[in-house]
Amino acid sequence: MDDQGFTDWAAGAERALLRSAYLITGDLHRAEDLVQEALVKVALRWGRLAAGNPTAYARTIIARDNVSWWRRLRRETSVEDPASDRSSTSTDPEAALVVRRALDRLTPAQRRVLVLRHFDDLSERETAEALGVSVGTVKSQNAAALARLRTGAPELLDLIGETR
Amino acid sequence: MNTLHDALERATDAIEAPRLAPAALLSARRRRARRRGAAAGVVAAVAVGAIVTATVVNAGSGTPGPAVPSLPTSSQESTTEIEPDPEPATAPPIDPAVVQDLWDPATVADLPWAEGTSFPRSLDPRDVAATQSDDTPVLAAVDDGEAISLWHASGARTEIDYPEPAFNEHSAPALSPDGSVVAFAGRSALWTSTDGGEWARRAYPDGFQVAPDWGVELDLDADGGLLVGQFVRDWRSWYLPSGGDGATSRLEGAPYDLAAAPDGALLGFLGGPPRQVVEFRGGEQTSAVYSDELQSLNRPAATDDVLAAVRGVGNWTPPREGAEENGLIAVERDTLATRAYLPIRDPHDSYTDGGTMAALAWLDDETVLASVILGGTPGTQYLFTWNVATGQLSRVSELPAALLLAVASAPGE
Repeated sequence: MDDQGFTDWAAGAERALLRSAYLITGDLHRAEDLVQEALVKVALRWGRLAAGNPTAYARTIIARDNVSWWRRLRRETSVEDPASDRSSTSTDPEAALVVRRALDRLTPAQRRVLVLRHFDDLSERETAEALGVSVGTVKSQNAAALARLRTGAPELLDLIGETR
Repeated sequence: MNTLHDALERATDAIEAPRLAPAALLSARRRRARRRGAAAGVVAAVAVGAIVTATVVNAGSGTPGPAVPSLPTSSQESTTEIEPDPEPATAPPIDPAVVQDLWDPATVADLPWAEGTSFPRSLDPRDVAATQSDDTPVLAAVDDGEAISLWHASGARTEIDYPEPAFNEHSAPALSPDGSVVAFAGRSALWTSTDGGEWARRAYPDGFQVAPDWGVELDLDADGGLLVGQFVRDWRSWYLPSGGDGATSRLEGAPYDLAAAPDGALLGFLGGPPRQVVEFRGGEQTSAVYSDELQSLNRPAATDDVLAAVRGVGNWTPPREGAEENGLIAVERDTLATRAYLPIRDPHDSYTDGGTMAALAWLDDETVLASVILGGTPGTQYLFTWNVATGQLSRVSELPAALLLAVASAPGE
């Protein structure tokens, strides 16, 4: 295996993957677990992914593994409020809180689509491939997510106004 | 970039790169080692006992957690730098005409039984009482954690006791191509036994170390030479000539997944880039062929002319068709021209990347003996034949996946 190639790729990709995973899960520790597992799976397949798009593969692993985790979590336990995450995830804890509360208003599926489309800047087709759903599903979930944020997360609209 | 993107950016701008790559690499290797062990038939320590556990391995370091054991080693060693052929040949693309019908390995138990092989339908030592001796060639060795069973062409089973506890539960025994020599990775030394006789001891190479959860990779060539591989932070391989004569050679480049051919050659793979199929004799590289066109090859079996291997493709997004699918491949040894390709249904790459499929031997000029594990370590390892000329598949034998298996690639030759 080309260890150096894998290490170089991971060094360039893992921060973005972790930020995306955090936005999808709302839990930094869970996000690190997801990224770690994704990197292991990429490493197992590095010989075949190196010439392609290992980052897309890692994103797919993160998004799909999170589905499994979410289902398991709902069966086994309740979600703790990882409030302590906020101070370590953003230089602007207030913005982090607003974003977190807004994302918490979304369904897990809407949240995944929103993060992949608006944080990772994936196209609708790329988002559909990453999540294993149709482009139509991505369109409808993205529209529903944005509508829910518009009506249910005014503080996020204020925050977005600040960034203009 | 849009404004929602800005908000999401701001909410995560203090998240730093977690530097997970080294741990991911180690985890991947451990996982692959476990799977590869399972593919060869990992002995379940809980089930069979008498295995050197990680605790024992760690004891050498005196510290808890991951450890690298030091071993008694030989003092005579030379380093052989691999000097690639100045103009290696390049494997040609797979001719669509040689691509056969897609096969689903999950249906292996439904295949018709093969005619005319000497393998018993069960290689589980519990199914046949051991006999004292048998003069027919050894086809396979099965390590159940208590002893090594030798399965003979007559159908009889003989047993050899361990010379000492095994190095660990991931280290499979090896058989020479003709089946006459068995090699065993012990706790303190390497051991060989010829024709079921007394064990002969060989020191591990100087500097030999093995990472936790990683087994000793062991192969025997047709001359009785031992090829020993290790992984700690990278792969390293040594060649120990037969009988302890001559210097131990360390092979830079460390080819992996080695297969012994009846003509004395050992063939393995270099990960590249560029990928290569390399051949060496007596510890020295004798040829190489660039193999990027064939993508990822592993778990090979070789004759004097042909190589069979498991092939994984880089396009992981379905749908895949024909040669875009993972599969079993048969290529000419000198050119890597594809003689036949059997695509398999492997949507999760578990057979190819997970190490649960392997080419084991060539039974004749057209018949590859291969294996696949279904159901993980608690499951079953199935041996089957693939006729490369006709594409016909037949079931040969089976054994619990928790047992370690080695197969003679040219029994009796």
